[in-house]
Amino acid sequence: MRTFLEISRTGLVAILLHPLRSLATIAALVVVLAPYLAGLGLSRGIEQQAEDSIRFGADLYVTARWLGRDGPLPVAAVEEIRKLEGVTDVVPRIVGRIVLGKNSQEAILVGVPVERFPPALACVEGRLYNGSRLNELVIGTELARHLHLEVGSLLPPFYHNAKGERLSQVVGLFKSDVPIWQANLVVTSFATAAAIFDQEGLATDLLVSCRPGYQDAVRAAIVDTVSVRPPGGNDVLSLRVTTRDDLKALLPAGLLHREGIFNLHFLLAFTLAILVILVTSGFGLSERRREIGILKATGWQTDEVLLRSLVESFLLSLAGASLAIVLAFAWLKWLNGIWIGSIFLAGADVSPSFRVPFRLTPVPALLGFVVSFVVVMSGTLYSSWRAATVSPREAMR
Amino acid sequence: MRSTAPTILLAAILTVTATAAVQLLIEARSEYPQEESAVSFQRLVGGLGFGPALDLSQCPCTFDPRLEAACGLDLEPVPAGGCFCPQHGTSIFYYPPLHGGPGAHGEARHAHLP
Repeated sequence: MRTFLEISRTGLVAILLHPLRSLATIAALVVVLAPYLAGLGLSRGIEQQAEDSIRFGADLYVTARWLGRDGPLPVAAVEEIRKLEGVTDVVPRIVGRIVLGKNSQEAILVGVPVERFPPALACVEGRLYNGSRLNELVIGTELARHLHLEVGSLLPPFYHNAKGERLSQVVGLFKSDVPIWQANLVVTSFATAAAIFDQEGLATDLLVSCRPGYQDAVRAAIVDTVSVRPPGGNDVLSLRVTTRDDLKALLPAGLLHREGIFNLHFLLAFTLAILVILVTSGFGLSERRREIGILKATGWQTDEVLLRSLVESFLLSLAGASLAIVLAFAWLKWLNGIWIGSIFLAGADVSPSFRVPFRLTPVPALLGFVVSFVVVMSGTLYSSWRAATVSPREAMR
Repeated sequence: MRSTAPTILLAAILTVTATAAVQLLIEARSEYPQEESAVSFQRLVGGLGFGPALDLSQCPCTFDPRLEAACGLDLEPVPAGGCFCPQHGTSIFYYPPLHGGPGAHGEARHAHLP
């Protein structure tokens, strides 16, 4: 055991013998692993917020089918669905894309019956509504920053309506700890959203709440018995119903499936890193050959030389992986995912104005360590084995 | 006399490793905080948001599959056609199309060559 520890200690010394090579190897590992771990952490954070979106959303979402695609449906369907057994509530919702400001800032307008909620909500700084004649808007943090808006700001008409346009007023801002999807959101009353889009009597979807155990029956009843006609038309629209279980089924089940193409991109990055680390950790290093030649000449066995290299590789990869984990955590927690947030979250700024969700879990970190160990070991061990299996004189030459 | 440099190096590596391990353990054991603001937001908008996109400019499906069940830029069955969407192409949070995508539930499917 003592011999084993002594040989292991020489592995530590080997790291110090070539400090530049050791630093380059660790840096290469950190550069590849830190963004990978940060991406995985973000992925898990988004997943948890998506779970909330399902849990606190409606039981069923009803949309119409237009020419094979989802489309709006008449608000008149609300009353028809409300009559079905097991339905406790039906709420129409408008969700649509708008652009605001001279720089055409992308935004999502959401129209919901805000009157159903108290004027003050935990997620809003300011208020929701006050029955004013102006269009009252609650806006997201990224939008507020880009358009330099605050509570009380007035917006000139940014839409066209045949019945006339109104000024809009920002009455609330979403707080930065609210889920990420608030970033470019504009929430207003259902009537205001209908006026902004100039499409009265239509809703993007209907949110249906059911009594426990009635979801499937209500879903079937909506598809089979509810007949909805488009405004000014006689054809019956077919309806699509999305249940909470449908959405839950989308949540990725495993680590490998979760990130899909993201994993593929990082596989390519790892492949490049292998080349870099192979070069920095052993190949072509004549000093290593001479060093091993001297060790062999002084009586070291091949297995002892390999053990020394193994310890060296293990410690290098341990240092690289651990540093990557600490850096990824600091990047997401204290720097709020600055830069990397905008890479992985489409529509976010370089420095996000909202709290970036993340959760670093042990399994991806362990996987990162194993991959880095294999990569570093293959570089160090191969060159050591090549040098250790020739005669000392040949190795030292 | 032995040099202390290897011992210092080992201590440094072990400190970084212990920091990383403790951090991962704390993260693994901690419960996801159920914040009131997140709950009230989702109740207000009726459940909105699912993927890593924050607007509807390119792929509404990546923002929320409830708004558009499948990605309109998905060019499959062209090989790797699913990667043509700029938001899916670098997605850190992949999920399949809702309802199995276009053509599910008995709707007219795309024509296939014999």
